Amino acid sequence: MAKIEIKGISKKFGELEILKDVSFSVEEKEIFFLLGPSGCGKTTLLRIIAGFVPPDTGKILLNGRDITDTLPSKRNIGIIFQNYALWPHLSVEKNISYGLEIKKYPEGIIRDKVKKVLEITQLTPFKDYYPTKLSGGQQQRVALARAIVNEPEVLLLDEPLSNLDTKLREEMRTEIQWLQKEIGITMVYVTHDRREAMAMGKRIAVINKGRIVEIGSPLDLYFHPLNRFTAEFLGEINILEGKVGKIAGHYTEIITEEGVFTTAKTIPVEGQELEIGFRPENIKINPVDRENIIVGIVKDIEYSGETAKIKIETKKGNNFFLRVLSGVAKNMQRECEISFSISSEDLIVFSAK
Amino acid sequence: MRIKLIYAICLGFLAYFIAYPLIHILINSFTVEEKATFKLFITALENYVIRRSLFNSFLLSIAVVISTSAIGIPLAFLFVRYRFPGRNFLMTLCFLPLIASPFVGAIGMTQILSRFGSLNILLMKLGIIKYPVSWLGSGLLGIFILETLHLYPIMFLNISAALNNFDISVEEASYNLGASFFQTFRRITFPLLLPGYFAAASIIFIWTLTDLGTPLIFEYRELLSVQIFNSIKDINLNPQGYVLVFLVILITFLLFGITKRYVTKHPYTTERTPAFIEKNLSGKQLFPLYLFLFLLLGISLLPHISIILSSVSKKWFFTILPSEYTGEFYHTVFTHHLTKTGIFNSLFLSSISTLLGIILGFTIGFLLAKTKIRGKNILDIMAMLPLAIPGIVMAFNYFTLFTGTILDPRNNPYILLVISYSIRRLPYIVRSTYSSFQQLGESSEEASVSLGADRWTTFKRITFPLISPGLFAGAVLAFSFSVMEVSSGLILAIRERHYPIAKVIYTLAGRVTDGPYVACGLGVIGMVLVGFSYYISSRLVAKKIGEFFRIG
Repeated sequence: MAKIEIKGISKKFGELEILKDVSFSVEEKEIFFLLGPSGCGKTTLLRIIAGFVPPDTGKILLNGRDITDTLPSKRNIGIIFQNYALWPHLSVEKNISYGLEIKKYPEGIIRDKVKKVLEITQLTPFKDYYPTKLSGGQQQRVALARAIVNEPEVLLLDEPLSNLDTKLREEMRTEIQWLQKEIGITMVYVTHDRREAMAMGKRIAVINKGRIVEIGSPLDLYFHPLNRFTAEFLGEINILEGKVGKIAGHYTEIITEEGVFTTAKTIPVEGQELEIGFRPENIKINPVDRENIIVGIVKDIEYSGETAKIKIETKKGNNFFLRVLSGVAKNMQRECEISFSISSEDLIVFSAK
Repeated sequence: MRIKLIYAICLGFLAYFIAYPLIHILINSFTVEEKATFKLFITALENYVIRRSLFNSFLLSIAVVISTSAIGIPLAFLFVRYRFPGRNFLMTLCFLPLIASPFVGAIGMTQILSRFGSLNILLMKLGIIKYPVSWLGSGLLGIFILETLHLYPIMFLNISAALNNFDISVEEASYNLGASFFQTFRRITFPLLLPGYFAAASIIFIWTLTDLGTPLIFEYRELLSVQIFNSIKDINLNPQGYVLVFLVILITFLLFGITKRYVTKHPYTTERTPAFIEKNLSGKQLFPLYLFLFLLLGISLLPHISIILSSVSKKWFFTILPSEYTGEFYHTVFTHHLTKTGIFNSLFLSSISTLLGIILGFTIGFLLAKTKIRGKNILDIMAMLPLAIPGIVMAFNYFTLFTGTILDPRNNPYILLVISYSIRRLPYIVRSTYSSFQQLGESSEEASVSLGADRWTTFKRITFPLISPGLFAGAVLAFSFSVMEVSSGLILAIRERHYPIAKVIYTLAGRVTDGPYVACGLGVIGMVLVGFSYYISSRLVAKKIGEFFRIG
């Protein structure tokens, strides 16, 4: 049985449709990501799960029990807010012990639990500090400690690393992952940062305009996205329009302006118009075999450390971007002709237009 | 060099009209026949009437803080956190009580709450009471009611501002950990609102403690402010007025000091609350809400309604509403020599004082924000000092200090009135100028200079247009405050031809014939003037008007 199930959640604010029929489920001890651009409705979804906003339609099940109408205070779902929402008038220790005090735990137990959590989050030396005296990373840890000390069934994290600098963000990523494994907690993690989601997530739901467009593993979503939005949101991609040609076994021909391509996918409707795409780094320069070849002129080379981005223009006037190791790019020159190929397995076919 | 000269002039002016009078009070409170002593304090505290007045004043001020909290806090929550039909209109009505000083409202309220006033007549007609009830009692209750009704918007404003700056997620974090509404309010929300609450509570406390007009209208003498007023007449024979004023200064400085410290120590405000947390109220929830709001507004606008009714009533005795109406009192307002003088004096003095306030406030704001002159802090402190000096204290100081000099208010109080009006509003103008300069930053001026403009052109075309809305809004408000200023006029204007509006109203209210009605007519004109000023200011600076009723 799934730990938490979201079934057909929709929400409007006035005329504005924020969420449309959102459904997914998260397994026990899983870290599940909701990934999408700002304003896509992911924070609202989190607030609905926490109980701060009622959904217009749909249900939320926790351990199979319907909690849609349960008060936020009775759900036992923890939340880490984007800005941490620490209480500035209470010390670190008091912030952490608050939930336990509210639940009227005996003092001894509170002390032990708080002590343990302070140790796990390495906050013991700061327990008497007030939140405003702490660094961003420390505040983040207090927010985590405050939530996990109450042993919630599920922990919701709303862009928890967005206020930290790059280096600290990477450190905290590791820390959250470690903590998740250590205490074995189920997490629903909201972010707009694809790198964060791909580095930490086992499963990611991509959200756009209030709808879940795709759910999958980071690798699947990156290399075999079903949807153009997913493909573009997760990284750079080259897109080409085409039509379905002949089908041979598991392979299908796609006829485009740049020639005929084959994809390792069966698409039954001949003549159907569609879009294909490939990742800039998923190519072979000057290939030996003649599969899925594109020929073009190098128009620009842009170095960014270990890799370089190359702009290619074909005779038909289409532009493509390739990403190759800087060492390879070094041997290329502007206005030179090059050819590259995409393997049938790496050619992405999007759903019909 | 020029900057230094301007600095010296500003500092000299403030020192002479702010610091020097305070030192004068200090010296006179602690010396008898040129010897330092506590004797004056002991004599004052041995006096039963003084002890009683001190006690009453404290009791009244604390009671008003409590009652305004009880009204203002729930009101702020209601308007900030919920959305319902008519919210903006009702919110505007909630600020209306601010436009009439309780002193004017008191005249109207006596008509309603007196022995044969509207309330008793209504209750007797309904058969609820048989004999008229003395609602006003000794007068203290009346003062309490009027101060509460006048001042709750200040609490409302401050708490609303605090709530608006409040990040709702700190409350949600508490609910999320299992806390109930009351647990969250007690342990999270209220402690975080405390800085705003302290600020409002101290303004309300001091306002009530030092309000002179209202107790005078109710003829209630056993209050600190009235004792100070009475002591002026024989200050040369009996210097205990100095001691009382010293006590008021001490209390206000302590209160403002504590508040300021608390507010700077606990800057709790976080990000603004996202708009979507406003909850919609509808259906059944609306009935109790509207009932509460209409009751509150009905009661708090009663003084205003009664002033308006009095000003047009030909006959209003033994009936709930006037039995005959007339416009003759307005005719009197514009033709009677006393009212004409009052209106002219108030408008004239307020205009001059506003101009002086702007010049002084703008210059000081500029010096503080834009120059690196040494000793800037002294100027800053001096300019903020008037925040903690109630009108009655300033008027008392000026009266005692300048009697017998070229500025003697008994000969002509105009200069002192102008100075006291402008100095009392100075902190607001300085602060708004200063913050405008701060917000402006260097870059917009540098951009102008880089395009070839000289400093004067930059000031004229870039800086001034950008900061002028704030300055102008401050000026309009300062003007309206001055028009309805009570204490300074009551104390400093001795001769009829020097009376400002407030003193004319006070004088008329005491006359048995048509006096109170004409006074009400004048009060209505004052209300319209103040209301119009608030409207203009709020249009100019949007929501920032609330800053004039906040400290910290």
